[in-house]
Amino acid sequence: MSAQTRDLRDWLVARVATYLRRSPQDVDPAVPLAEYGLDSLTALAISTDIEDEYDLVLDPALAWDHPTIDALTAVLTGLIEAKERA
Amino acid sequence: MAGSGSAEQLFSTFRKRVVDNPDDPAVTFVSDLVDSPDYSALSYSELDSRARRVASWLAERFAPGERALLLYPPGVEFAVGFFACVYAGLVAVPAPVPGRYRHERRRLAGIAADARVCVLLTSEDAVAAVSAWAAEEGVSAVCHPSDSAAGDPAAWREPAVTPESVALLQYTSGSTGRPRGVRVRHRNLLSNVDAICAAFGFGRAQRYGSWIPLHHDMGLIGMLLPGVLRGRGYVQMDPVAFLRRPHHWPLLLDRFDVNATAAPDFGYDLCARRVTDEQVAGLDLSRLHGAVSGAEPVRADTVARFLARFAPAGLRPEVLVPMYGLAEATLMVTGTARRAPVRTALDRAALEQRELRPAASGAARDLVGCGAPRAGELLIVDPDNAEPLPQGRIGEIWLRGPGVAGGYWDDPEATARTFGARLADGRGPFLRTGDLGGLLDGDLYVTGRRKDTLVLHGRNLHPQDIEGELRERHTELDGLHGAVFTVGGHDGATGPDTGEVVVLVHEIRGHWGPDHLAAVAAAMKQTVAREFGVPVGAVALVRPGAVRRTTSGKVERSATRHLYLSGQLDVLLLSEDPLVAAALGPLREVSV
Repeated sequence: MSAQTRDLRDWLVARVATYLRRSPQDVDPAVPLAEYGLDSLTALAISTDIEDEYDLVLDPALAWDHPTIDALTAVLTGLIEAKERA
Repeated sequence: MAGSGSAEQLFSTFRKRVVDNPDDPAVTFVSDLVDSPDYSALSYSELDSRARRVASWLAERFAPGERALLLYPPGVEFAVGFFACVYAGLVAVPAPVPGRYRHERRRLAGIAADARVCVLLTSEDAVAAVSAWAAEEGVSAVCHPSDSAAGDPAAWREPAVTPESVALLQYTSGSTGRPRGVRVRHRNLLSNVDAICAAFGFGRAQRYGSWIPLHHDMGLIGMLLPGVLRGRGYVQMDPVAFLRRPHHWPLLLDRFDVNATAAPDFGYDLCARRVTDEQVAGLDLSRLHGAVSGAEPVRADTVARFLARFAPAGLRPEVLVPMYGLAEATLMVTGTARRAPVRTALDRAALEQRELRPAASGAARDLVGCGAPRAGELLIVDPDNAEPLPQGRIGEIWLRGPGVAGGYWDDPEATARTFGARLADGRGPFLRTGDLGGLLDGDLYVTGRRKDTLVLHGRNLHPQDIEGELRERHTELDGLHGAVFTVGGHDGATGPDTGEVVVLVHEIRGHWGPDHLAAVAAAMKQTVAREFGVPVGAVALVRPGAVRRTTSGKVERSATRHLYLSGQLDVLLLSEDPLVAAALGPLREVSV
């Protein structure tokens, strides 16, 4: 895992922990977010935060199609790399 | 008498504003507040001319009293469609544009069928989505974009309507989850709009603005109509823009000089939690005179946090006005403005005995007073024997007066049951609201809802839809019973930090090992989170027959909920968020 990917994953863990009102060490990146009570409002907030932080435009269904932080990290890493190449 | 009586009419009220204020903005839609500020607006004369054009098109094809489904994305066009219906004497049926959730698309088709709509009014940018949904669901009504050039504004004639004519079918959920259209008459709309203005002492000086969708009664009846008919116009923003960036709501109020706004509790909660000090620093909310909290239980904690959050921006406590209302009473029932919200600590043991008693010591639950009844008569009634109850006692809220709607569309049986209630001494008819509450020092305190509807983040969800979806997706549950309900938030069962979550209790067949049960539970959470967008706090899988039902076979959700909360549910597997388990711990200790 590259340093950039790890940063992205840790950042996502921190955002998810804030929204779902628990501490970052209680959020397992491999566990589906639905287990932590993810709802459409939180999914939207997280997707907006990602857009603002990484200057991306995302499909609103992203968090549902990639239901864990690990899966989200993988797809976002790809999107960020594609953007940097462009 | 075809619309020419002396009684004030909805369309004549609007026409008077067109004459008085032709060039003032009637409706404004703000699409971007920050990056590249942008908005679109229709002046009173533009809205009038656009509505007459569409009304002429409608009048050539349909008779007064026929129904038009209004399917508009956020924007100014909804107002054109609505006033076109008013001008043509058609009954407007506002509904959300079909979206990605399957249960919502189905429910919308149920509404179109129930109302027997003759036309789908929408805008050019949504025609494709609306047509695709109509084809998929077999809805055959013609689809007409109101921003097309069809129709001649000069050909409009006054419609054959009376104050008793139905203006609007506001769809709501009955106790069975089947959608029911509330028949809101022209006179109901005008009287509720005037009751709202009178409650605040608002007139033409006030501008209204919010992000509430216009297919929601609080958006159309609570905001757009008072703003356009009685105020200085209505300013709106996309609800999703608010959900993404909550600080855009207060920013809209400040930038567009808005004096009156409204939202359900969750909107205030979202702002209190997500708006930062930096975002508050640039705001001036001193010109905001009224912010209604309604449509959801008003949480004492939310009110306090919202007021504290925006006090530095000049927001005064008396601006936030908790209200109680429902579609069956057009909208507003109670509300008292020009005072800080009244928060009362009530004795928890007394509440369980159905009494409102201020807590002296011991366990208390803080409730917010929803103000005094505005028009007509409000009674608290014992639901078992139809006897009126005195001050301080909790019972079902019954109403009569000018706001009470004309019943449910095409459902005389449900209309008689809900709108035709009589007291033990024969007085009536009253509207039975299905909500529980009591009066204390002139204020209504709402303590519970008798319907099973789940109210989450401003959305109404139906447990039947969720239970059905689970059985459809998970073969292990097929043909069995489930009970879906919420815990946390306003009911005082869990602390404010967990928020409100959904609990899924379902029977499961077969002798599965713990691993398979856990896998089914995880998949159920995923289904509900994905298809309904609500947070799942726990899944309980139980043996067939373990979900409580009445002798006639109806699922008893509140009884099942009580068993779950007290830890007495006999489970095969309980997969519970540790936060929820921790919050419920004290409750379960008590009942052991």
